[in-house]
Amino acid sequence: MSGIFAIIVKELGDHLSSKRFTILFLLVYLAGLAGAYFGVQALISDPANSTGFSFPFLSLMTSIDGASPPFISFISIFGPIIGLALGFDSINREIASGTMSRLASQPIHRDDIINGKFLAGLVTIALLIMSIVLIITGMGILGLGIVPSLEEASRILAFSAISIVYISLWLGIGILLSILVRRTATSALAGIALWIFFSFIILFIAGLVTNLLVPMKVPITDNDPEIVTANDALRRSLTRLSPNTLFDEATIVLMNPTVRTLGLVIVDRPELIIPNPIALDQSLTLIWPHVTGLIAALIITFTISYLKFMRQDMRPSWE
Amino acid sequence: MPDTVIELDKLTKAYGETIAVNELSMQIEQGEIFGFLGPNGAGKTTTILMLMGLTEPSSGIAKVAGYQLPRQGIKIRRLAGYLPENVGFYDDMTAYQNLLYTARLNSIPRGESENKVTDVLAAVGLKDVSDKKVGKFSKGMKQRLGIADVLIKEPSVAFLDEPTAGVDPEGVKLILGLIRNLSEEKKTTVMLSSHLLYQVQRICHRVGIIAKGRLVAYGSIERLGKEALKGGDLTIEVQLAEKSESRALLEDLRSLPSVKDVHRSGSALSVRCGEDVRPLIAKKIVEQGAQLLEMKLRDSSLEEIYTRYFRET
Repeated sequence: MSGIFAIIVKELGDHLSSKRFTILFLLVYLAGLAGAYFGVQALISDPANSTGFSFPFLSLMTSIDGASPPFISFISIFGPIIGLALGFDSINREIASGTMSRLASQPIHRDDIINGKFLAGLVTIALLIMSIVLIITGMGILGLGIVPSLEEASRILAFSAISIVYISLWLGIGILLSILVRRTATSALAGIALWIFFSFIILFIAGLVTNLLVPMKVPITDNDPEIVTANDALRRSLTRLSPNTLFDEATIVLMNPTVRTLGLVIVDRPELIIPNPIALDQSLTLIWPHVTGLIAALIITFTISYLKFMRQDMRPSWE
Repeated sequence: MPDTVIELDKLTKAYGETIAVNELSMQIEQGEIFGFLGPNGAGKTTTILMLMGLTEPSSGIAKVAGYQLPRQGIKIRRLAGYLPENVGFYDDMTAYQNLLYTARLNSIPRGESENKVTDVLAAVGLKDVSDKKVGKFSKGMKQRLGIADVLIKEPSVAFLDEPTAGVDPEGVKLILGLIRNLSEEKKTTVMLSSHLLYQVQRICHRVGIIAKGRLVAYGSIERLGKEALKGGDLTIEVQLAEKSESRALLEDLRSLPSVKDVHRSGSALSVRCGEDVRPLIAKKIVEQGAQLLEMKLRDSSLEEIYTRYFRET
């Protein structure tokens, strides 16, 4: 037990004192603060027409009133980079510098090494996310002169938790790459390739495959409604293979209480839909599959890392 | 603790088709310094990795201090220290911080560990640079820090892989002294691998020679010498005073019983013969009126033993 604790303390110290962390920290803080600043300005100048009228604190992280992208999209795009940056060289750098065989020859279990490194990364991510979220909320309290409602506070907390899981998944992917790939430069590149694939390329592929399997006529109104919904459902299912889509959908539902469904619904009598926000538990029900999907992906990634790492010879260096 | 500390029985490690270590069997006693010799790629490092529980054996039995590998690897790693070949440290941490981390991983209590780190740094002569970052260290300093890293555990068994490779003569002397101390004062069992034969010869009680994964010779250096040279010829080196040798003397020596060949270079002669005929040689030299300065039987040095074994395999 003390072995893993020593590893966590050492790795955490490494993270917090590294230049890499300073850069990530500054970027996340700048994005968060800019979004909150413009959000507050929009709310003050024209409260009634602002998108954040009913949930001002949520709007600080979702508002597109200002010039900067909303904080939740920033995390969606930039979160994987944070996770990868903390993990991509965690194992292969130790092997390349000859410290791994020394570390592995200490009286610790071998899984303590990756568990310790993962937990240290997790703590770093949690510190980063929780601190910026608290600062944004604090700016809201100061700027608006009100405190967040329980509903808002709970949603912000749930959003932070999902962000931590999402970034940790990419940390896990980074650690896996650092086990599979010997050179740190290559594992960094492989991480970026995966990030681009899951953020952008998968959208093209999903569209391509969907139109191949469920072709639609142009214009869209010429199609049978069943075809349209089938097409949409397939495209969504395919893009949900990407953790980034899961995170996007989950945070949109959480941070916009008026979102009541993901995907298309056919409405016979639109006047029956009242544009009211839904309760937190209803939002959570809607995104529960997304959250379990993210956690499952994390567990699978970590299990593969674990199996690969336990079977590796702890040679002094790669030959 | 049993007297036999390290015990191998038909230990084998195969990587796919290639067999890195092939049915290795040997015993190493407590307090012994055992030299593990062989060319690069002979399987020395693989054997040590198996003994530390860092690689799983394909078959066979390995025991260290009565604990069986790889199942009880963590117990072995608690009492055994390992210095890897080309040992590495965290470059952006100081020597002191690096060792403190090792102390923490070994669950040495906080209060105790700080004194211990200072002590072992002094023992390897790195006290003055303990607050310097290891990234600035030379190869020799890193190697000494590696020894300190093993010492801090106060191990009862130490596996040292090429402990003196790339170290300057002064450092080699220090490291060999530390190793000898470990064995004599702390009764630590030391298994060291090396290709620097004359150093091994100076401190090892017994050696094992490994080639292509097989143990080809195993025992004390004297015994190996006798075995290796059994049936072979002896060489007697004779040094005469300048210009005192003559053609007649050479002829005389060649005619001695069991002498096979006599070589001359300047005033030095080397006589190859089946048995030790030094008294007869001395007598002939005096009879011919030449002046004998020195005469000796060439040692069966480790190097000779080593090359002889590798000529055979």
